Amino acid sequence: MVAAILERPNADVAGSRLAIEAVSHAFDIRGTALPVLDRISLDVAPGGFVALLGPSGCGKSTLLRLVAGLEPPGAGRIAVDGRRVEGPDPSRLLVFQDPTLYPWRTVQGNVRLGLEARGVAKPDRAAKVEAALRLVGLDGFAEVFPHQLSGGMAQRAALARALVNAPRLLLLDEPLGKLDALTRLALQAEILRLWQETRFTTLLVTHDVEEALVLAERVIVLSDRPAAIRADLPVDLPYPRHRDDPELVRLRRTILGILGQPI
Amino acid sequence: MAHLTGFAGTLPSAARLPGPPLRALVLGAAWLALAGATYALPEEGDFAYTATFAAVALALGLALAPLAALSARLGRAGASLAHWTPWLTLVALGFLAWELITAKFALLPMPFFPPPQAILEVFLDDWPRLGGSILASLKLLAGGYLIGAGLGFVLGVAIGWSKAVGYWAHPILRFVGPLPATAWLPLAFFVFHSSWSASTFLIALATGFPVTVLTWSGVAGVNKAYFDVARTLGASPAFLVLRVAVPAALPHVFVGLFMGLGGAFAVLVVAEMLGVRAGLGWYLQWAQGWAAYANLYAALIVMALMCSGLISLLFRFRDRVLSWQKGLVQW
Repeated sequence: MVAAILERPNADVAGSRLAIEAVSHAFDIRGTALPVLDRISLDVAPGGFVALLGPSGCGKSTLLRLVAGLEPPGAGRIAVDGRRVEGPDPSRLLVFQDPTLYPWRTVQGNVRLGLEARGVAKPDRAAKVEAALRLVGLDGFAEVFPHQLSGGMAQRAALARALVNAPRLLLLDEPLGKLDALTRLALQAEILRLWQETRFTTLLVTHDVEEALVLAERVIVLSDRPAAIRADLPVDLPYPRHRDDPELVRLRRTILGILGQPI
Repeated sequence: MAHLTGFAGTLPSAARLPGPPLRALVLGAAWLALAGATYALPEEGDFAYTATFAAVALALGLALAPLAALSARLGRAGASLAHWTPWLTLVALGFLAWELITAKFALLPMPFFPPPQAILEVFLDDWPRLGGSILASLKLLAGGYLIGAGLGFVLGVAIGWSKAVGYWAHPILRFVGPLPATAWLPLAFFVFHSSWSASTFLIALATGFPVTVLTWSGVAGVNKAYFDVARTLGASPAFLVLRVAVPAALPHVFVGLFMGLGGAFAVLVVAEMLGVRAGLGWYLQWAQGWAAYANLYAALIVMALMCSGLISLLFRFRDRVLSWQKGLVQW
């Protein structure tokens, strides 16, 4: 019901189809090219939840920035719902590892940001902001400034700031990476619930194998830089998943083996 | 350890001084002593307002002592009075010393060091001219400061935001900016038609440089992730400048505004002394020309009040605009 206010009225499936075709990318470090992505191809069905796993610094976050349209890919093509990505768009939203809330705005003001930027009429804003805050469990914190929030609450606010725009593709760049273990568990359950309620397509970058397996329908394992796809593993388990489910434990071993970690 | 904490604990509450009732008594005694000495001792010279000054001191002593004694029951005003009681006592003793070494014993050369009642005389007799000078100064200052702050802010945002503007503006700022605004004075007075517009220009220049530089560094230093967030949310370039870069840079802008105000005061006084025939700077110059040293001190006191008042006003404004910083930054 809360989600209904945020959803697009005329969309059967809330999520976008994402197609990444042979995308390569390099950084220019003082004139020398440092390759970070090596011909990545990936299709995500509408409403799918895919996790990108890989060693830190392998280029996972870069891939998300390219999908968000913050930078153009060096080579290859990224398309969302059949249309080439040529710049940022509020239907594709990125949630960063740092909440990056604006310290001069209240929680409510931060969540309202996308609505203001897109020129949504003022009377419509309040209801949407309120619904988004309720969705992430932050109702009652609307007037609070970000520095008064805990890390978990700040990340919830960042989620609300994205969700208020009814994104069809949510890009999560290690959103729980800096939280303590208990908060992380709580927010994992939260993200799962939000995804199940609204069915946006989700691309989650993480280096936590368990997090990927508990949340995603599919886990893509990336190699060291330049990142290439090493494995594409379906996780065919019902939600909510148990961390000590034998199948999950088996997948975890497989993935750690691929990543070259001692099991 | 106990000694240390005891020391730290007593410092803020004006301790090492007697308790409230005794403090009130000392406060009253100090002002009454000032009144008595001023009125009763013979003076070296002829001052018209000696009795008035003594009466003011007497009235203050009679009013402050009981109020200070009862300060605990007077709410916030009482707490404030209790806080300032040691200072008020010191002020009375300072006046007393001043009175004694000038009017009473003439220990300092007379025309240069007038007694307090001579300065009181200036305030009571010459207030129309003094008041007019304050207004003239404020008008000139406000015009120049607002123009300089406004242009500096816009220029600073433009330089911080646009590489092209930065390319052209940066060398000019590097070359011209560090030049003290007063160095332009002779040039400004013949380029501009009136000394008033010349002074406005100089004050604007003195204000504009720090505001420009700090706004620029504020805008250039904004967390790049803030822009990424806004861009993915569909923000236009105007939104990125006005709703992201500017609010994020405001703490820096205020540092520039404070520095600019200090510079503006300096230029104001010099410009009024050298060209503009009005204002507190002119009043100082005029008083010195007529060897009216009491007027000189009176004008200095007024100027100090004006400058510190304006700085406090800017502080208030900053606290209001940057209220979100409360708890984030200590000041």
